[in-house]
Amino acid sequence: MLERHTFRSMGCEVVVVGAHPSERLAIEGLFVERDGIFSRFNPESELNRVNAAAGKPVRVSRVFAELLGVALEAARETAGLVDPTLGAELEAAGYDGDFSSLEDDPGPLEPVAPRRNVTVRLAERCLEVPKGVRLDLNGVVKGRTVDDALALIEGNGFVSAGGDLAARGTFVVALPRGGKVSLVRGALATSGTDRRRWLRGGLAQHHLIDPATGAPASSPWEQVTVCGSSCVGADVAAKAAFLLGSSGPGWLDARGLPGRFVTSAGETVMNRAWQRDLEPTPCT
Amino acid sequence: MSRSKRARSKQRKRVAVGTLRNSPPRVPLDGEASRLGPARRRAQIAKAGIGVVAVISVGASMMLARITYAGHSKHPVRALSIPQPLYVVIRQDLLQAGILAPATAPPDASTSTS
Repeated sequence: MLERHTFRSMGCEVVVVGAHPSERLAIEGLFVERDGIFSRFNPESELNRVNAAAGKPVRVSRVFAELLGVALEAARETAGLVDPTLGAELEAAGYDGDFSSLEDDPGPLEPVAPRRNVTVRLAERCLEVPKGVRLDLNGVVKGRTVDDALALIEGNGFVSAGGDLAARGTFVVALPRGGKVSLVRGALATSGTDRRRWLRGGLAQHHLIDPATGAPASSPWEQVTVCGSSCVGADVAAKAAFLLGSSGPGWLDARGLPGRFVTSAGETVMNRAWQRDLEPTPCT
Repeated sequence: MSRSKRARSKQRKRVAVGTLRNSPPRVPLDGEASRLGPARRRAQIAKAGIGVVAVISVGASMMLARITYAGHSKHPVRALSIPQPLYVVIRQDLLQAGILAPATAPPDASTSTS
């Protein structure tokens, strides 16, 4: 029986299974370090220092540069759908504090400035973000931290944080809204609007921002679950598939990524790659 | 040389210098004046030619230096980037599929939504 350890970080419960005590300590330290660097809600975080210096070049830490590089690569891979420069839009939608402290606000929404082409310059550890742009790397940071935490475990085990789960060895995973699947290799990530949502001016808001409008996206899906070789890749793909709406399943199929989509009515749609993986293997 | 010879020699030199200093300006002869004009023109043409050749030489040397000197960029400046095959590998790495199978046992883990 593998040992199980839980703690809270990055606004969610982190579950670590299969780690020795020293590995658990290292994993907890990793989450604390990353949260301290990338939290939007910690005034002392490096992310807030970078955002405050928008318009001027700043020197960032090696970890910051590395994860921003991953976020920019994710933006390129998804043709700008998963965009790390939407921090100001997220705050305008009302997500300006830790989710547990968010309350519905009947006041009007803050106006959203029209989106424009944003160029983030990152050369080694020198970063320049245009004035008025605020970075938010939350999704990429959580997914990558889960991947890095799993790498700290020597044997079989898994690390789960919110909707992100990465495993070494085969584990059966219960999916949101029912159903289960055996994760043989890689990671599962679920993005959706059923948990992190709130009201602003009588309108439902959530954290998945459409980069075309700068406002919370409207999508036929409530949740999208993707199986990727890494947690960060699965999370990026799940967000992109959510934002693409009805063309999300096809977009994942074109990349060979298994995806499971759930509508707000509870209807489940699985793309071809997901169905292919779950087809029973004929006995030989 | 005796004293008398030296005195005569000095006197002859004094007479010769005095002749040159006191002689009126030399008026060119008719034949000479007709040759001076074309000579001056040839000199001017030669000077202009030398000037043009000098300018062309300096320009050509500068061009040659710019083309051949190692410190000068010979092509439009391009940003440094990773080799294309490596870039493709990185892209594939980010959006690569994991492997699923039908579940045949009770769940070991559960995921929520992020």
